[in-house]
Parts: sequence; structure tokens; C-alpha cells
Amino acid sequence: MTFEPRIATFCCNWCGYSAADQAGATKLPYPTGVRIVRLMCTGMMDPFYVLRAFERGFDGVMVIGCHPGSCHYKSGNLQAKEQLGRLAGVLRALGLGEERVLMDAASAPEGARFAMLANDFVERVRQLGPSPLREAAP
Amino acid sequence: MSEAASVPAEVGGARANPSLGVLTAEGCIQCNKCTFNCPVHRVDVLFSPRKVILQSYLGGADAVSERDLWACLTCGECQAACPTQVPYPAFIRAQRERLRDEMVRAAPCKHGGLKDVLAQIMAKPGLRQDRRQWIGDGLRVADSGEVIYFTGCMPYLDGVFSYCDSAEIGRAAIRLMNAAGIVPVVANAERCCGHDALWNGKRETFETLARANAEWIRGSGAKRLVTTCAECYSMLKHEYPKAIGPWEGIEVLHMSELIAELVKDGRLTLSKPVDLTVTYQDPCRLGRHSKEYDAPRAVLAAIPGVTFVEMDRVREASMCCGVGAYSNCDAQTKFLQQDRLEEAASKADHLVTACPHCRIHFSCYLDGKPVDALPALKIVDLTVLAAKALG
Repeated sequence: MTFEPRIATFCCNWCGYSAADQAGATKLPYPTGVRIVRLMCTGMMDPFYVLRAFERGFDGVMVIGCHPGSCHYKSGNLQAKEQLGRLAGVLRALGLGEERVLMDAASAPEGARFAMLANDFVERVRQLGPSPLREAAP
Repeated sequence: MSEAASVPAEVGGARANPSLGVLTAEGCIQCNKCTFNCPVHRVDVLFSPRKVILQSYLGGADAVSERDLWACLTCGECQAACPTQVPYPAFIRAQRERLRDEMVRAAPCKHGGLKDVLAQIMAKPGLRQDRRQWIGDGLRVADSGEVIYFTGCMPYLDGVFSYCDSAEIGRAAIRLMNAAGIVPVVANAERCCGHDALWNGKRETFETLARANAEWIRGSGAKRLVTTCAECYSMLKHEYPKAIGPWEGIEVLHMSELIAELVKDGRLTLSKPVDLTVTYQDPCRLGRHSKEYDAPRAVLAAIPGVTFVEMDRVREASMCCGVGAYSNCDAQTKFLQQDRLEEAASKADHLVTACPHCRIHFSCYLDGKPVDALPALKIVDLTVLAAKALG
């Protein structure tokens, strides 16, 4: 059976989620393993959300917020970047590696960018293989 | 922790976990000393250890206040003050185990989620860790040998808590051991000790972790297990033997005990003066839970140049750092920390502790720019301080 990565995707309400919506509305394909969780702002990303996703068997975590400077709450996306940066050492120590986590931005009309990010990230995780923490195929 | 003999099988209508063997709450004589010694009661008059016990006897989740059950710091001050030695922290732990699934905790501590998920991940069989990156150059560690250095969650805390360099504790410990001719084993097979899982009512997770750790530790042929963390120490020394059987030929040591022993035997010389005035915080897991009060003080006495001043509330009566097992942190915690840090600042300019978690909680408070600013007080780990005295 081929490996189909499962990606926990955290999108902010104002940009990332709207972009994902836009991608769907304009029928742009992206892999079905991309599962989206909507947050009001990526600024509420606690590092432990990322680890919880791996604990539950996801192969990668993607966080999509607003572009720098255009956060609906001024600086939530920058805070998210700082918070996720603190996880680098934890991910390496757990043997997962930093490559399984991506933080990027797509503004509300950028459906094509969202689809591109999702496709590229899924491809990257496919190359990395299943998460070592994944116990059995879902 | 003292063990009591009688074990009521039924507490509040539900079967208590018999492996705890400590549910002797019926020994309570209603004197209320527990309440007046409880740090939580000092900041929240409605909280009382005695009340939780009474509620537990009256019924299940509807009788015990969820808030009360998780507000307890499990620091053990109540038990230390109790004339009949009611093992209050163990009782709280049993209640958490029993009621955990019935309760929906509204707001766990900010970092509780992180510690919880790390323990859950480390209980997974597929895990392949690379947990030695923090060691750095010039320090000698081995893959096998007589002494294991059990690092606990220290490699993971480093970086996450930006106001604390947690890995410096590990580096200091290895430096001290190397100086005494010991090349410790630091293993990638190591997993979380399970302290927070056990104290937050997740006994299954704790036992999985304990079995995984015991397997590689027993298989390694080591004779001594050294840790720099008071929480790991209390787990490895007291709880692992209860959960997975006696260690048989493996001695569990806190780093302070090892340093004190090495200095006494003349194998380690702390010669470089460290001119500081310090006071010492007894971590609850090392102090009241393990009755180890003297070794850390012996280490402080062995460091040249250090002026050691005791705080007023020490040893059995020591005040908690404000957070227990990352299950609670709120405005009341901050009052407790302000109070304790004021006491420390009135005695010295450095507060030494032997538990990385006391250090994190106090540093967090100082980092948060408290309203009532404290004089320049620094929080230092005992192992780090001792390593400064290496020539």
C-alpha cells in the first residue's frame, strides 16, 4: 500500500482558512490527507498542539497564517513563528526532525498558494516517510 | 513518604487502587492543622485538604470539587504537619486516578499540555530519540558503564522555557562526574520518568514508561542511577520499585547525594571560590517526599566562598515553589511565588534549588516582571553552582 501522509493543518480564520476555502471553491486539487483545524489566529498555536498531532499519529504539521505585517491581530503570526521555533530542539530529540513542521502564510484570496503549499509539503513528508510515532495505518 | 498499614478498600463508594497502599484518611482527627499549613489555603481560604478528604468519603465526582482536586500542589506540607500522618498527597493522587475520566478540567496549567504530551509520546513503542544533542564538546559520556546519568525531560525543557538554560544543569553534572573520574552513561533509550503522568492521575502511562525505563536500565548492567531532578529521583527511588519490583543491585542517587559522597571520599575537589550569598529551596520531591535535606546542604558547605543562609521556612516546613506536576498555575501561584521569593531575597541574592522544575517555576515568575519587583534575585541549580567551583 502506498504511503499517504496525514497532515494536521492549523489555519487562522482570516487568511489561511479563507485561502483553503478559496482553493476548494476554485477546484484546485490538494491531497486528502491535509486535515484542517481552524483557529482564530495562529498566535494561539501552543507548541503542544504540534506534539499532540504527532502523538495522535499525524505525519506532519502545517501552520498557515497571514503574511507578516497583515495579521488581523497585528502580530499573532509572528508570535506563532517564535513559539514554533522553540520546538526545533524538541522535534530533533524526539527523532521526528524539524522538516515535518511547516509554518507559512497564504492570504485570503491566495487559494492557489494554499494548494501549492499543501502539495509541496505533502510531497516533502512523503519523502520523509511515515512518522515513527504512527502505530498503524489509519 | 511514610507508608501506613491499613488500607480501606472502599473510598467514597469506589474501589481505591490497592497498589498505593496508603489510603488511611480515616486517621484524620479533624484538627485542621493540614489546612493551616497548606500553601494553597493561605491564598484561597475556601481550599482545605481536610475538606477534600471529607468530600471524597461522601461520594464521587459530584461531591469532590474539581477545582479543589487539581488545586492541590501535592507538596506534602499538610502531611508533614499532620499529627496522625494522613498521607494527604497520596490520597489526592488516588482520587485523581479515580475521578480523572469523570472530570473535565477547564483550564490546566499553560505548560501542562506540553509535559503531558511529551510523556504520552515517550510511552509509544515506535519512538527513536536523539536526546544527547545538548552535551557539547569536552564532556565525556559513555554507552555503557557503572553509572547512568538519568537526564529526565531536561533535554526537552531546554529551549522551550526560554528564560532557563535547562541543559546547563546536565552539562554541569557531567563535568562534575568527569572531574571525579566517572564517565556516565547518557542513553537514547531513556524515556520520561512518568512523574507528571502519575501525579495527574494517568497511572497507565506512568507504568508503561516505568517498564520501558526499567528494561534498559536493568539490561545495561549499571550499578548506580544518578539524576539531577528531584521529581525523577522520587519516581525512580520510591515509585518504580512499587510499580515494577525492586531495583536489585541498582542504587538511585540524587546528584546532591553523589557530590556530597564524592567530596567526602576525596574523589572530587571543589577548590575555586564562588563568592556568593545563597539560600536553599528544599524541593518537595527531594525534601518532604524523600527526606533528603542534608546532602544539598553538605554540597553547599563544600563549595568554598559560598555563604549559606537558611530561610525561615525550611526542611519539613519548606514552602512550595507554587506548581506541582504542572497541573496548576494561576494568580494564586503567583502570590505564593512572590511570598517565597521575598523571603529568599531577604536572606541572599541567589536562591539555590535542587530541582529543575522549582527553578523553572521561580524563573518564570521573575521573567514575568512581577508587579512588586524583587531585588536582583537569581535562581541557580545546585549542580550548576557546584560545577562553578571546579578548578
